[in-house]
Amino acid sequence: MSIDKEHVRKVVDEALTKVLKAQDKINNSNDIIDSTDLEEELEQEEISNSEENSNVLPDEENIDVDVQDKVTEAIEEEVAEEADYTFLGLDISIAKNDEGKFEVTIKKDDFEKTEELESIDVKNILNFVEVFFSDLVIEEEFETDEDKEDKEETEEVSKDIEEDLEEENLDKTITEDEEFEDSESSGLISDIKVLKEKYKDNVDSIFEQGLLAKELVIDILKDKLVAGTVKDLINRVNEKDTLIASKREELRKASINYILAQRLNTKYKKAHALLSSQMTKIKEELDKNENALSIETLAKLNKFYSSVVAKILNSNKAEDVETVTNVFEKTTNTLLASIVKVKPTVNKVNKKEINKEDKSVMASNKPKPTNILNKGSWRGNKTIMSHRYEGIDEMSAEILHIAGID
Amino acid sequence: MNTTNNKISNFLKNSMALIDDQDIKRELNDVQLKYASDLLQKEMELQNLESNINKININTEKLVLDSEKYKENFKSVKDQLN
Repeated sequence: MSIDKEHVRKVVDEALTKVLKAQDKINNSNDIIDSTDLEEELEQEEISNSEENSNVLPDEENIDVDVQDKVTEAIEEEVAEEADYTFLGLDISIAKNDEGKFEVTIKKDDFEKTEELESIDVKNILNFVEVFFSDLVIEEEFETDEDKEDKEETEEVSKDIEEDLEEENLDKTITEDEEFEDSESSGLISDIKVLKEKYKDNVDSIFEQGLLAKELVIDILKDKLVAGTVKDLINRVNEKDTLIASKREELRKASINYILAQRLNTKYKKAHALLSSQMTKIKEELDKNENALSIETLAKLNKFYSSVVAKILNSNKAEDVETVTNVFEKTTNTLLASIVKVKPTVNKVNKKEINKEDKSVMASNKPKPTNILNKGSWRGNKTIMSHRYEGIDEMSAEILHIAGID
Repeated sequence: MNTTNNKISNFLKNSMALIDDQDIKRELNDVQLKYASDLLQKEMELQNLESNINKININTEKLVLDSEKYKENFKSVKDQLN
């Protein structure tokens, strides 16, 4: 069953012709045309042209309303005759109730929806059809979900199929993202509709998952960061401040402990290095001169060292270790000085002996200075002064003679 | 369990990326946002303090261990002297 389109078209055409005629008269006339006169004139024309034509109000303001009324009337007349229709695969039945309203029932398969409409113009009917489709989609989704749950309970889906589905979902998600970017201007709602239509099998679960995830994360953040009332918020801030204060105190204590540990460690290190070096020095000195220290002194020294080490071991403060180390250093230096004092006497004797020997050797090895005047012998002197020596010989002989030594 | 935890962790991370300014404005009013920011800063300060305390404690522990080694050496010296 369908609406008689020819009848509706005829009525619409007639109404339109009248409106155009009236408009034409208004536009082409130089005089001011009274709407009443024009109406009468048109009526006469209509009577003369056709007895079927109804009255037309050529008033410019009422033209559209009249045409609409005409169309609605024609449709209602048709509806009164034919109450059941098929439109877009839907069974539409319209019935007029006692209150003068129209009860419109749309049915598709097992899904049926009835609504009471004030009028049954095309706009109202199409709106109702749209609502019907939306409800139908929701119903189908609900049923599909239930079916899926049943299937999951009863059947095991093989891994290969699952992997294929995941890949498919991934591809669709990527395409979905691209679509989102392309259609930003058309608004979120239209995007969702387009995507729903395109990927109606999977998109709902994807959206639901995404939205649930967002809600979950936001809830976690809200639970972590905010509270229901301002008082709760202030309390939370105060709790954090208290915690921060305690942590700062803890940090201060930890820093002090670190500094103390570092100082103690440094003092231990220094004491250890000093003890090792000084003991090594003393040992070396004693090795050179075993008699430098008496046995009693050595026993005292041993006792002293032992007490120093014991004090270092017992003290847990850097200052104490430092004090003990300083005492140890002074004592050891004094001790070393006394050992070195003994050693130089031995060395001096040796040194003297060595010097004597050296000097004699040096003296024996040292060449005597030669007198160039007489180095050959008195007689060998060939210089100008050689004659002087001849006189000396004579003088010597005379002195000897006088002395009676000859 | 680890795999499940990783999946949950990744899921939450990816979900975090879905949250934008509009979500924050919709879910939190100005007062909540202000206090949330303050709380977040304080939380970060706490984390920072805890991290510093841990670092200092670890270094102190190392120094104490090193000092213990020196003490052991001193003990052995003392034993030799006795």
